[in-house]
Amino acid sequence: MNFLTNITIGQYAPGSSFIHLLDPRYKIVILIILITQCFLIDKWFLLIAALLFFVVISFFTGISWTYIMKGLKAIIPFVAITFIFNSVLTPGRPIISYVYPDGLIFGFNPSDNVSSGQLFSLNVTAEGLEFGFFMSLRLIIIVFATSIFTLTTSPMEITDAIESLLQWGKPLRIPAHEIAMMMSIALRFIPTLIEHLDKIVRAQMSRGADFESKSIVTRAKCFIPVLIPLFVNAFKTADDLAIAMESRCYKGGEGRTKLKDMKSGWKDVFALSFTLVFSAVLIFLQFYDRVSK
Amino acid sequence: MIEVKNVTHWYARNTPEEVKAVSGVSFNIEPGEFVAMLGHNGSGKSTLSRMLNALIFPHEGTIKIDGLDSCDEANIYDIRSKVGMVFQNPDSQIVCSTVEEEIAFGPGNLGISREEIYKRIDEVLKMVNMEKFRASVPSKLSGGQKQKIAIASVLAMKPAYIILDEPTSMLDPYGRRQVLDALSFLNKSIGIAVILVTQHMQEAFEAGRIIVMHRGKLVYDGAPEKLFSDGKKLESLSLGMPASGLISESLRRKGVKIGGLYPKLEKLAEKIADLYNKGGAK
Repeated sequence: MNFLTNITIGQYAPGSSFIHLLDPRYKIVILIILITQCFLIDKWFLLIAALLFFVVISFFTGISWTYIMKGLKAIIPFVAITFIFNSVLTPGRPIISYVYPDGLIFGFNPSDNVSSGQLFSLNVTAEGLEFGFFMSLRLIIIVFATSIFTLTTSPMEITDAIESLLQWGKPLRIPAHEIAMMMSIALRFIPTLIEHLDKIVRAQMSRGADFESKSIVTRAKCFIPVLIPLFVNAFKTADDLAIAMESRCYKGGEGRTKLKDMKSGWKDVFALSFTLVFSAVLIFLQFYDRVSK
Repeated sequence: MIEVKNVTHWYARNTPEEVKAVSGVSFNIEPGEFVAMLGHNGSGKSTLSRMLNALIFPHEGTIKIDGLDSCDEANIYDIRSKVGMVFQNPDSQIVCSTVEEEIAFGPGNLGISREEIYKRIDEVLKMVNMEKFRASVPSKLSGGQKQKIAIASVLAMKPAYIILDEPTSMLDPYGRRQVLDALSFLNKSIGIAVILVTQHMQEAFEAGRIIVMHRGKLVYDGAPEKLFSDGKKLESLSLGMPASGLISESLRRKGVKIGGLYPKLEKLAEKIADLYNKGGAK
């Protein structure tokens, strides 16, 4: 079960690069701007430019490229599913169609064949392919950007930053500290739960569970005796952790000293203004020809 | 001083499943002592140790930590910072994602200033000999190292006493040794009172005083030598003899004048070598 220990999503890789040292609050705002921008643009060259932007940033983090890629591998199935669903389910000009009972048809026009008694057709449309491509690219960019963020920001920094940003929601009674604490603990426990999962999978394999069976049903059934102990274990861990936190005088966010002062400097302002300029350029290019037409 | 007076605690009190976990226990622990608490699963030792930390409360009797009554809610946080607690499972008691932040968690909760926290991080990492791991991620450390970090993060709250609830039971022999060495250093050089809850006889032997719990009652409180020389008592409590005790016991039965009891195996070996060299083994 080697893949289990290779999950890097949400993990922190300590370091002291420019990206590591940015104010986490600025990092969150920058992340939100860049992700929003990804949904505003729908020209392929602009999306590629956005992707390249993150590739360049990832070189500045000082984290090895293979380590970042390991984390991204996990999203391949999601990207594939997104692409397939979008290309099949978007209405438009069909390129390849599967028509029952006729079989595969290229350049099929639905209105031609209504009389031939077709029962069912599945069309891969040109619009679908395009839309699917954009959505997959966006998904890759978002996960890539988020993993750069979590790799360079320790969960405690994320917690503090979210807490500080959510302070503005105080009139709305948003429990800023609690939300932030839960998130950071969730991130902290990913490796621990993976270790549990690994142990349980091995234990069930030694009892004859067949995780490599060709039948999907058999494999799926194998995961029931894995998930139940995993959940029970998770609850027990949560209980232990709560007691350990209480024994160290945890009493919520009131009056707590944070280890790191969130100081913003010219670096952060520079990073934010750079992001704003970059996004503005992309969005301008996106709408430019629409305006000129 | 920790004063435990006639303490009784029930689980699921006033229900049909009521269990008396601790009944009528009294003892005192002086600052600077090294006490081992022995007992089987279900003997009430974990319940008792959690009561010393004001995590659970006595239903009858009182617990006072340096004069602070644990039943008074105003004292809870003072008691918890005076009596640090380290648990069995290293993985489920580490809250944060870096060693530094983990150590800062306790003092941070107390609202201590940031400069002071940084000073304490340096101090406690030195105490447990883990300075190199300041920026490490706890999930990548070994079990013994994780447990030392857990001890360090309790130390950062400057407790006068620390209670460890079977801290070595999930560790390998090397990790166990690391943790025990750190504890004896803290006790001898820094003067922190250590209360080590354990099922491991050899560990208990290293303490200056042993408390034995059996079915919720305190059945022995005194020096380890006296307990481990009383084979019948050990048997009646179904406790095993530590290795060094077993060896000297069987030597004595063969007529070797081995003398007293030796907590450390090295000391026993020295004594045997001594007798052998003198030729006075018979």
